[in-house]
Amino acid sequence: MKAMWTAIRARIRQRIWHWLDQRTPLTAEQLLRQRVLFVFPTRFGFALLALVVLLYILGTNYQNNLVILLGYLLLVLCISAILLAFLNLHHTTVKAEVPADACVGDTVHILLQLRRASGLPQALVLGWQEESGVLVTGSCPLLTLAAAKRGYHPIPRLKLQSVYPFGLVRCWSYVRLDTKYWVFPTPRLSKFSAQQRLDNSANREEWSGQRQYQPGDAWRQLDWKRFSRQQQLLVHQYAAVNQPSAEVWLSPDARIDTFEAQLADLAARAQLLEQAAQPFGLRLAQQEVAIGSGPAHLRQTLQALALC
Amino acid sequence: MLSPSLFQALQWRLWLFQLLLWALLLPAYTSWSLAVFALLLLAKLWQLYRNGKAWSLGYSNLLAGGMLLALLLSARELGVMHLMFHFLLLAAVLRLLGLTPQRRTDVVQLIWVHYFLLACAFILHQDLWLAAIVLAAFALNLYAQYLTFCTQLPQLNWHILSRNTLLVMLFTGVLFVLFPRLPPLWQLPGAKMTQTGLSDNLAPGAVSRLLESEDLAFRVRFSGPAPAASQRYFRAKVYDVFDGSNWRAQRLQPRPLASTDTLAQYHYTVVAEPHQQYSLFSIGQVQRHSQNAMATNEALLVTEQPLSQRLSYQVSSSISPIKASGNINRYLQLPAGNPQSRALAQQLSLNAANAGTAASATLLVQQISEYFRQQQFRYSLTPGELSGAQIDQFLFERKLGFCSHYAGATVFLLRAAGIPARLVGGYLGGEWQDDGAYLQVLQKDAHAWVEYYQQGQWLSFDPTALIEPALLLETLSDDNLGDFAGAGGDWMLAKLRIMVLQPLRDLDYYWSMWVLSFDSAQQQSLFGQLRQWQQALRVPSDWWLWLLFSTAVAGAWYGLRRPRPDATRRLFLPLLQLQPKAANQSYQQYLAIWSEQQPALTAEFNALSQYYLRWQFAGEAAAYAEARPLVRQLLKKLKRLRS
Repeated sequence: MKAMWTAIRARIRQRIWHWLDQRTPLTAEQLLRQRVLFVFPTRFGFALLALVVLLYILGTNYQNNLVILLGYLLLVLCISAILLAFLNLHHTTVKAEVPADACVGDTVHILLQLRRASGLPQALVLGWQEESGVLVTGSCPLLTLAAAKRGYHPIPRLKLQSVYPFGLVRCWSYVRLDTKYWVFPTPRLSKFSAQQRLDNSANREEWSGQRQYQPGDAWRQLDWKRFSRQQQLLVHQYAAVNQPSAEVWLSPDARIDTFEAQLADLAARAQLLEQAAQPFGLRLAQQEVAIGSGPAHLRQTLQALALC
Repeated sequence: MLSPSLFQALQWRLWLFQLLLWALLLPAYTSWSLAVFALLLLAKLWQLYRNGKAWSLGYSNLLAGGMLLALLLSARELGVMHLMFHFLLLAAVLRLLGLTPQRRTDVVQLIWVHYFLLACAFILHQDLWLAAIVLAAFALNLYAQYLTFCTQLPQLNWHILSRNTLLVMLFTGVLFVLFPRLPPLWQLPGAKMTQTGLSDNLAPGAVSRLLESEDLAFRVRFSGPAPAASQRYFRAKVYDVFDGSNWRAQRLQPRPLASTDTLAQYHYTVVAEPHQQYSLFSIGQVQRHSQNAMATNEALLVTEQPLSQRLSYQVSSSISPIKASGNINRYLQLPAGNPQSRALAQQLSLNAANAGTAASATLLVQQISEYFRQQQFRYSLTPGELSGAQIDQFLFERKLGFCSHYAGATVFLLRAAGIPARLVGGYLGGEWQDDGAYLQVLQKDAHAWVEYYQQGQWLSFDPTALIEPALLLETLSDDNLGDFAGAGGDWMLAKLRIMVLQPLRDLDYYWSMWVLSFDSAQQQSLFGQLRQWQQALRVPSDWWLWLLFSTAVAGAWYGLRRPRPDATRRLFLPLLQLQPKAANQSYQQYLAIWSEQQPALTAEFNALSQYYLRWQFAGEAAAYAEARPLVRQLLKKLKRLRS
């Protein structure tokens, strides 16, 4: 029985979301028009309406016009609260900045932009779809999302709501923004790759000379002895003994048992290769990223890993 | 969670509100609870000044428990309604003392209870001035409510605020006038309060105090002619039982009004002040009355409940003898004693029988008035206490007194001579106010006179007026100024009172006439009036003429009010209203910005720009004519895009 009830509720909820999605097409920025704004009295609003009824009965029974008048005053207040709550959000434009890439387990920060010709909504509570949300101020609120799964995800429905000014009526809107964010596999070297790296680094790089320190050089590579003697900042330089092979192809390591761990390993290896300025390519079962180097290439590789 | 500064501001408003409420509910409270609430409010003040901690729930509950016990113990003397007021205010004050910024629901509940308490204040007070205070308190509470849902201390924009207030008032007024009225659904307990005005027990001392009181008793507005001052006897009570010193009135049973053949002479509306008694006021024989009053056997009007708030009712009546019904013999009751008076009654009755053949009662009354005149009775508001055989003492020793003495003695004489008679209490005269718009009757206009039975009718007779004919003179409020000339130091005060207070009383009268006593009957009559206007104005086929006329007037007014913009501005006005043009921009630049913003409409904007250039710089008038529909089309498309 209970299961059936839950199922029905889920069904209804799904219907409502579907209906909402039809009402609000996906756009880069959403103007809060009458079509997408909803109003409904809050608990306090209902309590005050009940008070209006109570006052009407009281005023009628005591034949006291002033009590009735007070009741009407409260009724007009309730009605105008609908309008005021609506106008508080009406004609605001909501837009989300494209968020920075994140790895699984990170937090994605999404910067929103609110605009309106005159003033900004007061006492606005922002949150994702079915969360309660937080009170925000200013025109650029920041929302966070937990990056749980790798991939290229659209941001969830945004819920904007406010009970301003009298707390009698809640005005809210579900906004679907056409903004997506990348979640890459968290780079983690497998023990095999780590072992191999150790072996490589032992014999692959050799001291090749020194040069002047430039900002950005690793402090580890500073020649401290010379600095203490001659007050001269020099950096050790190492060169690979055997020239890096022109191309390194990364492919999943079959020895790793889970697919996700394979991807994490690939991501870590790609990062290491990028740090070493070693051009590399990626070969996956259905996909291939051509040989290349540079941050854009790394991102492309990671995107390929995120999507597979 | 409310920010600290906001919470502080909120608490101050709520405290101020409760202080106002405390003052408004003063009449409902006994002295000890008054003191407790004052102390609690002071405690809150202390807490606010010291930024002290909110009271804990346990502490509040302990206090509330003690108070509740004390209140329940005194429940009997408080009455149900005041007990409720006490509970509510207690809850509100304790809640305020325990308020914390973390719990907004507490604030919300408090505000709700505040609104309800305001309504309770309206049950106790309906005067215009107190109503103004209640409305101010309402505004304060509303502001507190606003603060509760703000995120920072708001800057009030008085322009917008006053406009919105006006709109809200307007809508409330419309609702008030148009929303249907219902009769009382069920009886509610009234407020227990001390009675004022003429009481059911007519003790001479109480009457003399009443005759010095400047308090308002009721106000009357006559539609049509009004009776002269000498005929304005407003009957309120019939005192039929005499115990040797006091006259007592019995609680009267309402009875449907018997139809009479006499035509009603006077139609009037009475606005009675609350006096916590059942009696209402009417002149002579009541012919018709509104639903909120009930008639009795004695042709008096009474209410169902003690009058605890202002009441307005309509009466039609005629100044004619009152039809007698029921048992007449009970109006012959007399206690033993007063032998001299009894002897006098016998003698006067004998004289009357000798005097002629007319109805004996009227003759006897003539004899009595003759007696008063011959014996040189005088009128005085301070005749001194009577003791023992009061009637004898008054008739044969003092020969000095006011209305209740004369009327009481006359009734005694009539009853002793075997003629049914009764003492009637009420008000006489009154002052015309506001250029004769309404009659104001004060407590000092209280009066007592006599009704005696003759041939199935009650005839009225006022012995006091014989002694003091000035009582029957018409007094006008302006003439009164002269009376104070000899009154010494109080003169200035009295003059000030009339100059300042009377206009306020006038205003209060119209307030009660139009707001307090607005009921379904008035609603109907207002609708009727509107319909009459509508009929007077309407020429059925010409309604569109009216529409055209009013549009033309509105248009002309609008046109006159604002200067006509130049042709270019007129052309682009729809666009300018959507997005203003910077002063240093040319229209060409302005249109370029538009077309950048609306890539879908670039072609249209470019075309418009071309037309504009051709018209402005090549002088082609046709281009202007072509540009205008284009702007209209653009506007439509823009609206579609924007919505």
